[in-house]
Amino acid sequence: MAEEVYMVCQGMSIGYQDRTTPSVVVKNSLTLRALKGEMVALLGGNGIGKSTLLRTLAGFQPPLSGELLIHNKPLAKYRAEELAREMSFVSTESVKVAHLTVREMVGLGRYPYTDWFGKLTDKDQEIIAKAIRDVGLSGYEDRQVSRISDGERQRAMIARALAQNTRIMVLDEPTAFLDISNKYEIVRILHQLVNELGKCIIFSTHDLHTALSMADRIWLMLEEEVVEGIPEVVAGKGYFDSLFPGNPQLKFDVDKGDFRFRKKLIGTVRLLADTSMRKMATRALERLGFEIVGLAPDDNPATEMGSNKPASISVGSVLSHTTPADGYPWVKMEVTQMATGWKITLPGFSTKVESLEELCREVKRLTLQPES
Amino acid sequence: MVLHDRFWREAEFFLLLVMLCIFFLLDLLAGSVPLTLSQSLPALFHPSTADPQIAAILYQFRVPKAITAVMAGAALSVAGLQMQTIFRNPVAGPDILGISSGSSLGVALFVLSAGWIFKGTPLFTLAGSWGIVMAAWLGAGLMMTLVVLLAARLRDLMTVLILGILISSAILAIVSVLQYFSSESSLKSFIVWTMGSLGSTTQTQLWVLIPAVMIGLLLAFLSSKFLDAFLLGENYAKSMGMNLRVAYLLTFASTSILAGSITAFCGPIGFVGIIVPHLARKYFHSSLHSRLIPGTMVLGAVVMLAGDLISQLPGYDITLPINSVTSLLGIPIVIWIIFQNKKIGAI
Amino acid sequence: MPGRVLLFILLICCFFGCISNPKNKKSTGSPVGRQQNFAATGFSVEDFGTFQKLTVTDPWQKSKNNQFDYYLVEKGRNIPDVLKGEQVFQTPLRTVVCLSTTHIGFLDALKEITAITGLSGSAYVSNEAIKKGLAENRIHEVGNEQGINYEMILQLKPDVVFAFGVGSEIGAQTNKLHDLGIPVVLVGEYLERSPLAKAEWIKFFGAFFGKKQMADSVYENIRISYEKIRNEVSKETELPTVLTGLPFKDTWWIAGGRSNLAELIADAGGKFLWRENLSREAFPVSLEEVFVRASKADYWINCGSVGNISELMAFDQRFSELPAVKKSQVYNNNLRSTPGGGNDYWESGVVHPDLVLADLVAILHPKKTAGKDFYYYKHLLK
Repeated sequence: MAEEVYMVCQGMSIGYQDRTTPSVVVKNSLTLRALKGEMVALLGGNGIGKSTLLRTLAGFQPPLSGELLIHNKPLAKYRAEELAREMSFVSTESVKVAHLTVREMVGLGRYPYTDWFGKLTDKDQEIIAKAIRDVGLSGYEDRQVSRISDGERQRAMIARALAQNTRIMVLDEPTAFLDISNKYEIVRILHQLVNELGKCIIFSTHDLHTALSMADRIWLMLEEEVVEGIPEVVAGKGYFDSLFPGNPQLKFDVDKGDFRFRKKLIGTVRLLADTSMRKMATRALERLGFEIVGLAPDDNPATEMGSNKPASISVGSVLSHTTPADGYPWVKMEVTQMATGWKITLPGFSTKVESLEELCREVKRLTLQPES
Repeated sequence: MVLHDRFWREAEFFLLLVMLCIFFLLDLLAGSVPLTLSQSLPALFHPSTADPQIAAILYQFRVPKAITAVMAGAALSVAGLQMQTIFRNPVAGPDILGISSGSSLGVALFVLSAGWIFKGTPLFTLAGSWGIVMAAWLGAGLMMTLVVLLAARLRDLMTVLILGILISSAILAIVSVLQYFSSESSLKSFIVWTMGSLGSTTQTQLWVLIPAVMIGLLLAFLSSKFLDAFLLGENYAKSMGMNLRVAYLLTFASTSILAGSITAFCGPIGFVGIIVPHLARKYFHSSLHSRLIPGTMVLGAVVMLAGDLISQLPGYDITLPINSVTSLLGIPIVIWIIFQNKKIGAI
Repeated sequence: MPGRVLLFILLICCFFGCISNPKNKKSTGSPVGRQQNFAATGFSVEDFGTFQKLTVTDPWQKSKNNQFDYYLVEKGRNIPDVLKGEQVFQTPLRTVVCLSTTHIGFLDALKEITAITGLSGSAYVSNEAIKKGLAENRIHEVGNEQGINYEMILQLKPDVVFAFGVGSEIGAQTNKLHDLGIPVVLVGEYLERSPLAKAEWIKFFGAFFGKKQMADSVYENIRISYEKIRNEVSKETELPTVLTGLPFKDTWWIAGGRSNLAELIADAGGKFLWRENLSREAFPVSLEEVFVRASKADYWINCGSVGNISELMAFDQRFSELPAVKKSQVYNNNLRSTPGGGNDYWESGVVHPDLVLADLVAILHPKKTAGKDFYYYKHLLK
């Protein structure tokens, strides 16, 4: 089955051009594709040119050179209204207009289809109602746009783009100012539109995790080039490491699908805890900068709370990088779970605490302050 | 629910029309010569059988003045509405493009140039009130052409706005220089012009003013869809297929014709164009221009009639110039608008 | 220490005491002859034998208790000691600068036109001799009000500058001229209430040129002529009503009920429509009010600078229905207006109120003055 290419650019360079000043090239020789029924996530560091690319694709600024085809027709050949029926745009800014209901704002999306006076027919009203439903804002029709939350407002903007009924939708960081729940909702909705309606949706985001788990295609914008492909290939080939060249502490973890910080270690700790507390304690001590050596094996169900017998130890993974933190002496510590709390043992010293929280405080106090 | 909504919308509008009629009638009764309703109504509808003096006062002075007030209120308010939407600026008014300073320059050159004497009579006297109208229109037209040319060359609307303001200031500086060198009587004539007047339009002049305002209002109606798109900003408007060039051309043309015509016949009248769109938005609870444009027209007419009523100072011998009334009333309302906007951060 | 403070305060008081009592304490003795003005109150002439003292009182609007003394001594005579430190003029003056074209009228009547070397408002001059002088560069423009050309005046070195003030800012001008060593005399004729009082200032000017007798006799003739004309119509019972001014925008500026024009109308046997008004200045009336009142006006005079009825109606055609317009009884005072925009009415007309009055009587009572030609007034036709 032949793939239906909705948008393609060949050897395109994007940037800014003034009549008086020489042009500023942001990116050169881009060759990218977006197909029907695809969700494309555009990733890249701050200031690398994502917005410029999206604005060029949406037709707000012309490409400096090269070809940009929408449905196999050059962008420049489209009239404004024609283009508006093929491509809609959602930006990151939150538009606040007073005295405008959600329904009215979504209705603006019917702009390319209405007459001189912008009269909305019954069919238009149906499309508007459906768009509002599709983004999950049923019941919000008569609410004022300036009075709903940011997430709801962004959804309303997407509904407006939906009502514009275009095959391609371009969104510039649509989830930028939203919390996790809203971020997820938006991407889920976009995904649904792609699958159910066969739209081609191109959006930029900083949320790597969502992009990698939901997008059909990644456009990864790096310093010198833009890499294109399915998420697993782009990640697997190690391109993500070049994403933030200026920061050596960041390393992309292919398994986890996310970046991890290389932490500065201050010492090792032998942890003795039972199954229920082990994971929490491990994480807490790792957060404090310790490498866990020596844990109790999992297959000892005879661990008793209330007895002073130390719980069994299992061997855990050892972090491959062990660099002592500067200025601090290397610490060797033992943490043991007791019946009534935890016991911290350092060379020549030991103390008891009652909760994991107190443990953290105490460890910090003991180790992270210079020896007096 | 939709039917119920519709009913209220029509009712809102109808109520405004009723108010317009009431204020119109009240304005006909207000003036330095006291007229009662019983005297006026018969004279209004049967001018041939009524007291000729009362009929003359009504038809020569009061009716033209009231019609001028309606035209001025409607025109300035709609012009202000367009400017507020295009520039996304809640305190923009019809003279944001410098139209009224252009008119001022035209009139200043005409009235204050003492050297323009023709056959022993100053040019000002020869051309009379039509001369002032033409000079004001010419000035406004030149200013509009300048602004349109600038807008075509510059991509950024904000720059056009700033340039418009700077040019206005420059023009006003030139006008002060002209004032400095003019004779007492010309100076007085010019100052009187700047105070605005609704009562000096004669019936013949109305035959020119009304069509001009109608054309401007028609253009405004045609730009209603563009203005709606502008609510979300230039980028979104473009993405929805709006032709920016046509939109600017239409709205600037409409604003210039509306503001220019009123300034030509009535002198510069301030604040009405700024406050009425806000009042209309609050009254109709809407930002959509298909409703706002007719609504602003009627509301603007009502406000201007009210202003004229106040300026007649019923009960006192003297009358206030219309510009003072609109300023005194307008300034507190503009301050209120600014505070309102701080709260919601929107138009 | 307190002693020294007291001494200091005492010294300050003496200092201020000396300043606040400048020249007025000089005892000039009692005048030999004191001229009694017929009508003018703005100036007085006192003869002290060896010198004359001219006093001008309150020569600008809203001035209170401001008095200016000018002392005149004939050329050839010694300046009396008592006048040491005062402003003394040696008469007759040879050259003068006039800051108002009205002064030209007075000087013309005194046949001292040749004395003028500089003036203000040369564009508006009516006097032919002056116009010739300006064209031949014997007389120079010295600017007006804010823009006085002090350097030009300095170059001309006139014996005196005749100035006038509208408000207290005139003080700044006179000070500046004083600093430059140029003598200034303030003339306040325009503040006089009646036409005859205004014309009487010819005596003021006459003193500066040593032409007291001529000034007196010229004035006497004018006065007698004026009163004769006035008496001719004083017995009229049917007094025609008169409207003045013209509309501009929303208002019509009407002459004050106590203005010169109102008095002239009354003296000419006319009834000014707003004679109950107490102002000396013009005041605004709404168009409607004028429309109603003027429906009773027989005549309409002094309507700006229009030359004919169509120009008048160009200001506001609603007034074409007025009886005065319909009966073609509209007259304007610009018969003697110049192409430069000046009007002799304001130049020689100030000195010859009798001629103005004669015109007005001819307008208002045509039967009495059949066939008389107008001097300043013009019948406005279509």
